[in-house]
Amino acid sequence: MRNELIFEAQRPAVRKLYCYFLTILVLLFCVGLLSLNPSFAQEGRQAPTVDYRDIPWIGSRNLVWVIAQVHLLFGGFVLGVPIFVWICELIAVKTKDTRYDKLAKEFTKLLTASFEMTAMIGALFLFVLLICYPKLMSYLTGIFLPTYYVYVLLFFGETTTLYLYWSGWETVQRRRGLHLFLGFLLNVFGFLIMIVPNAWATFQASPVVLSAGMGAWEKAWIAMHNPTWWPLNVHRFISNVVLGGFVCGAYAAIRYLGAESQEERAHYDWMGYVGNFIGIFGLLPLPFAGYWLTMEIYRYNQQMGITLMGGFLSWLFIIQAVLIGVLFLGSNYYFWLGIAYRTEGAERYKKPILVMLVLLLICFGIWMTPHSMVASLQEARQMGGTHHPLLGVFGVMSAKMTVSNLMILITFVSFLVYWRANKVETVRWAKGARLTQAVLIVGAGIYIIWAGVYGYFVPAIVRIYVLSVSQVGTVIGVLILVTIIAVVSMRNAKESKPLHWGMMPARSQYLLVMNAVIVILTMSLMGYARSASRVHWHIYGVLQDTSPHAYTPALGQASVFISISTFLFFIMVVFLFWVISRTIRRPAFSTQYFFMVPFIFWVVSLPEKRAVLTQQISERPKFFQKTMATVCGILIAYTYLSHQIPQQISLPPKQEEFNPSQIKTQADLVKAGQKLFFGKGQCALCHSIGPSHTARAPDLQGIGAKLTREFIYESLTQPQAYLYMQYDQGGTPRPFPAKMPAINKSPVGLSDPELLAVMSFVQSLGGKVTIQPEEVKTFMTTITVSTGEP
Amino acid sequence: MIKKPSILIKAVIFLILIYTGLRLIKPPLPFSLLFMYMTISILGVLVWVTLYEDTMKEFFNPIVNFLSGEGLTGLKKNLRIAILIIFPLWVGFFTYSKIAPKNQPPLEARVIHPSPPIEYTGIEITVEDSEETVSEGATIYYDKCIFCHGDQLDGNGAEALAMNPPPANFRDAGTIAQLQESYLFWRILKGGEGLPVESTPWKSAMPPWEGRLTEEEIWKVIKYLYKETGHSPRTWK
Repeated sequence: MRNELIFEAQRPAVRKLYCYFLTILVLLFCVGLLSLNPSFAQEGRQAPTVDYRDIPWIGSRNLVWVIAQVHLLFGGFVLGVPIFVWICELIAVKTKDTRYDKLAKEFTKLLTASFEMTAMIGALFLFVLLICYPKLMSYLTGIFLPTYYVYVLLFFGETTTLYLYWSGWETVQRRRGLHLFLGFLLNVFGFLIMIVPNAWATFQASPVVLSAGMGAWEKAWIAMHNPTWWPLNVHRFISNVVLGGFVCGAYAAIRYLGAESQEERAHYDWMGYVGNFIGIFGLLPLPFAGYWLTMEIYRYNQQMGITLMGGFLSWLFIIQAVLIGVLFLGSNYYFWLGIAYRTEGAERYKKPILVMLVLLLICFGIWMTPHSMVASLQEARQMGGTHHPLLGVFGVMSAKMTVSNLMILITFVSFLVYWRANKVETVRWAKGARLTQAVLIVGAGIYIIWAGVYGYFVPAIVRIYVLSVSQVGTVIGVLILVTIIAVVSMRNAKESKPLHWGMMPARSQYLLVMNAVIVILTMSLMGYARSASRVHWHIYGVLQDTSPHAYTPALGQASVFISISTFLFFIMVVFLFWVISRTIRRPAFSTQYFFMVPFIFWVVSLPEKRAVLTQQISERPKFFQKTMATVCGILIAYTYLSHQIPQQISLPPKQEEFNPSQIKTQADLVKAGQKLFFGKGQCALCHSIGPSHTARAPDLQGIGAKLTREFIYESLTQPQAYLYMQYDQGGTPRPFPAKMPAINKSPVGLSDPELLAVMSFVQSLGGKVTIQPEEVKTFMTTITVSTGEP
Repeated sequence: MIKKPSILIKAVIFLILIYTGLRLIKPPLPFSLLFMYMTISILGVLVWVTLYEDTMKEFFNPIVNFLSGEGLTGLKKNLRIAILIIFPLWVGFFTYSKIAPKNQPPLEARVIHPSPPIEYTGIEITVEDSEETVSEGATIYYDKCIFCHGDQLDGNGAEALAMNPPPANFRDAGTIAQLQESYLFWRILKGGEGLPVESTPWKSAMPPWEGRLTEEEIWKVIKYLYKETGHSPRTWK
C-alpha cells in the first residue's frame, strides 16, 4: 500500500498537481493573514498603541506580581547557591574533607534543574509583561536596549559555565584548579546577570534624568548608574546566599525525615546544619545592606522614603519584625537543639540557654512594639492618643536598631556555645582567649544599649549617620574579632566527645523547613515594599501607571499574593527536588527530557504501586504530609497576621483635567500652569522654586524676569537648542547640554494649551505674564520658534 | 515533704505572672499589644520545654494523659468531659464575637506622619535666622496657635481637651524633632484638610493657614517652634 503511494507521488504529473495545490494553499493562507490583520496591510503607518492589556479574572498586575516573585525567588536560589558551593569546594580542596565535596556536588545537582526552571519562568514573566504592559516595556526598552544584548551574552555565559561546572565534576577531578576556576567564573557571570536586571528595577524606583541627545549606550549606562542600583545589588547578593542556605537546609530536612539508614540521616543532618549556618550568617550583614538601601531611597526622594518607613507602608515593618524575629528564634532554637541532641553532657548548658532565650524574647518584644498602636477608640482615649506614653518609646528607630543588633549578637553567642560544646582547647592561653571573647561580647552589648539610649537625645542626623552605623560596626567588628580568636585558639582543640550526627528529633527538621518558608515570605514581603513605595508610578516621577491596577493594595491583600508566591515556589522546588532524586542522570548535557521522564515514569507505575502501597501505607512515615502542613500553617498564620493590622490602600491621585474653557482670567491660567508644573508636567521633580539642595536642575525662582516667552517655549520643547557654556569644570568652557526631556513629547507629553499654561506660570515667577487666556481658548500657538544655531 | 512542682505548673505560673505584670502597666496596654506579648511569652515557654527530652516529657505527658482520659476517675474524669465540651463551644463563641456586628468605632489606623505632596519635599526656609525672626514667630504663635497647642508648646492648650486626635505636642521627641522644616510648612499651610486619605483628613482639627498667614509668617513660626523647644529639624546634611 505504502509503496504504491510513493510510486504515485513520484509520477511527474501528480507531483506537479501537488505543487500547484500547495502553492495555492500558501497564497490563500497569506491573503487570509493579511486580511485578518489590517495593521499588516498598512505597513509603515503607526499602529494604534495599546497601553495596557488586562487578564480576565486574575488581573494583569496580580499575574505579573506572582510570576515576578516566583522568578525572583528561583533566580535568588540559582545565584546564591553557587557562591557557597564554590566555598564548600574550596574547603574540600584545602582540608581534603570529602564531606564538603559531596555536599557541594549535591547542591550543584539541585542547581542545574533550578536553573532551567528559572529560565522558563523568566521567559513566562517576559511574555506576560510584554502582553500586559506594552507602554512600560517599550519605554524601558528605549532606554535599556543595549543592556538586553549584554544580558543575552551573560545568559549564555552563565548557562555554559554552569553545565561545564556540573558535568565536569568527576572528569576534571584531577585538575581541581580548572574546576575551581570554572566555579569562580560561574559566580562572576551570576553576579553580572543579577546586576543587569537590578538596573532595570532600580531605574523604576530612582530614575535619573536622561537628555535627548545621548547615544544609546551612554543613555543605558547612565540609567544603570542610578542611586539605588549598588545598594540593591549588594542587598540582593547577600540575601540570595541567605535564601540558598535556608532552602538547602529545608531540602536536607526533608531528606533527613525520609532517610532510611543512619548513615544517610547523619549526612542530611550535617547538610541541614550547614545550610542553616550559611543562611544565618548571611543574615547578619543583611540589616546593614538594607539600611544603606533605605538611606539612598530617602536621599533620592524624601517622599518615597516616608511612604516606605513612616507613611502607608509603615505597618509592613511590624510584619517584617515578626518574620525576622521568628527566623532568629528558629535558628537559635536549632542551635540549642543541636547542643541538646548532638553533644553529650548538654545539661550544663541549660542555664546559658535560658538566659539567651529570655534576652532574645525581650528583644523580640521590643522590636515588635509599634510606635502608634492598633487600639480601639476607648483604648486610645485611655492612652491619650495612639502612642503609649511608656511603651511607645520602643516604637522608634533607636530602639529597633538596638534590639536587632543585640539579636544578632545573641545568635552569634548561641553558635559559639554550640561550636565549642564538645571541644577542649589545648593552647596555653585558652583561658585568656575565653575571657577576651566574653569581654568583647559583653562590652559590645553594653555599647549597643548605651548608643540606643543616647540616640533618643540627639538629632536624627547624628542617630542615622553616627550611632546606628557605629552599632552595626561594633557588632560586625566583634563578630570578626571573636571568630578570629576562636579559630586560632581552637586550632588544635581536642574533641572531648564526638558529635552525634543524625540524632536530631523530627521537630528540628520541621524548624528548618519553617526557616526556609519564613525567608521566602520575608523576601516576597520586602519585594512588595520596594515596589509599593513607588505607589502609582511605573517609573517614579516619570511614567505614571494609568491602568486600573495603579492603586497599591493593602497589606492583607498583598499577603495573599505573597503567600501564593511562596506556596508556588515551595511546591515547584519540592517537585524539582523530587525529580532530581529520581533521575538517573548522566553528568552531561542531557536535560531535554529532564522534567518529563520521571513524571511519566511515576504516572505509569501508579497502578502497580497502588497494590503494594495499600499494605505499606500505614507503616510509611507521613513526613511529607507533615511538612506540607507546616508550610500551609505558617502561610495561614502569616496571612491572618497581615489582616490584623490596619488595612490601608494607596489610591492614585485624581487626574486633574486641564480644561481651557474654565480659564477666564490670567490668574486662572497661572493657577492651571502651577498645577501642571507640580502635577502632570513633573517639572518639580528636578526644578525647585527657591534654593534647594535636592534639586537636580536649575532653580526657577525669578526666572520669569530673565527669559522671553519665545525662549521659554524653546527651552520646553527643544531643551538642546540653546546650550549654556560650562565654566565650573575649569579649562576651556564647553557647551553644557541640558539634561532635560522635551516636554511636549512622551513620556510627559503636554499639549500646546497646557504648555501655554506652564509658560504663564514660569513667567509669573518674577516676571510679567504676557500670555492671554484667549490664546489658550483658540488652541493656537502664535509663537514663532527660532531655529537658529546656538 | 513538698513535691517539687512540675515544669507544666511552673510554666502556667510564669505566664500568669507575666500577664498580671502587663496588666499593671498604666495607662493600660491596648489588646493588640497585650496579645502580642503573651504570644511571645507562650512561644518562649514552648521553646524552653521542648529543648530537652526530659522536660518535654514532663510538660506534655500530663496534658496528653489528661486529654486521652486513660485511668482517670472521679473529678478529673468529669473535668475532662467538661473541657472537651466547653472548648469547641468557646471556639464557636470566639468566632461569633469576632464577626458579630458591634456598636463600636473601628480601630484607629491613622498614619500620623504621612508623606507630604511632592511640591513640598525639600523646600527650604526663606527667612533669616535671627532673634527678630524668632520673636516675630512667637507673636504669631501667641496670636494663632496657643489656644490648641498651649503656651508650653506641649499640645495642652485651653481647647485641647475637646479634640481627638489631640493637638501635636511639640516638646515630644516624636513630633517636630523627627521632621523637616518643609514638612511643618506643608502641615501649617494646608492643615487637616490637606492630609492624604490614609491620615483621615476629616479627623484633624488643624485649620489650613493658607491665605490667613503669609508664607513668610509660617516660616517664622517654624523658626520659633524649633528655637523654643530646643529641638532641631531633621536634615540630610
